[in-house]
Amino acid sequence: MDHVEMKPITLPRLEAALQRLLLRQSLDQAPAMTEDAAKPIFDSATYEELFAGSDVDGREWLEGYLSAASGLIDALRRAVAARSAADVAATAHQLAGATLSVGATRAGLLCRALEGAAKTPDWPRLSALAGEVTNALGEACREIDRFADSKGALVP
Amino acid sequence: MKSFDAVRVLVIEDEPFMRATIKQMLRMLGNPDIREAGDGQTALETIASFHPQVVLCDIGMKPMSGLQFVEKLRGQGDAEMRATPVVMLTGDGAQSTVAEAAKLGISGYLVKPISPKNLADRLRIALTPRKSA
Repeated sequence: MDHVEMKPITLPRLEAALQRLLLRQSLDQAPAMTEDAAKPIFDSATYEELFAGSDVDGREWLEGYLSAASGLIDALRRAVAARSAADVAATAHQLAGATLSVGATRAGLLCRALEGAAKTPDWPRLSALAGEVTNALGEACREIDRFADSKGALVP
Repeated sequence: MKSFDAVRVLVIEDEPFMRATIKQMLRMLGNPDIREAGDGQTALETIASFHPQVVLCDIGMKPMSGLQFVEKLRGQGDAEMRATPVVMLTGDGAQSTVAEAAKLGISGYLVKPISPKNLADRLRIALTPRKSA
């Protein structure tokens, strides 16, 4: 038995339980992803390596990532809604490259897993994974935003 | 590590954030002369006028992929342009893609996320003149 849902069962609760089940099945099919949960949400080591002693303002680079991620997350939502596996794969590919490069390893590896999964248009699975990717990216973006704030305000 | 001063580098990448990342990485390696292109066609035009010593090229671009770009570059009439060293920067580490790129005579293949050290190592190899067979 995988799950117990207490009566009275409502449609939202049933839907949420099914989503959790589908997500767990996705994770079972991609065992490497469970290890990804231990990866950092955002590691500032790349930032430090790229901007230590540089006269370029690294906060603009972080803002650039946040802006790119925001546009790509919207594109991912559109691709899932349109049931376009090719667009899901292409968007997840772009998200993975940018997200791993900024130092958000956990979300980046999830994007890479989604890119791989999109080779098979199993939409319940892809939708669940895309939701997980979106959540992880949201978490990473909040962390990056906090880090950028800690470096001081950008001069317009 | 600042050994790439004045080296002419063309960065071809369709994603602006990735272009900014690669450019900043290059700046940390010295003071290279950097140009950028967001697609393969613009890159071919830039190469003709800029004569880069090395090209850093993404693979997953549209409408012309990075591999299609290199194929076009290798088919150019101008011998100098044809021989421009190219290092592929990509998130695609699939063996089939690496093999396809190797057939096109590339000088390096780096899988994202790349580090400044890996980029510097590949650049040094790409900038070393090849011995003719």
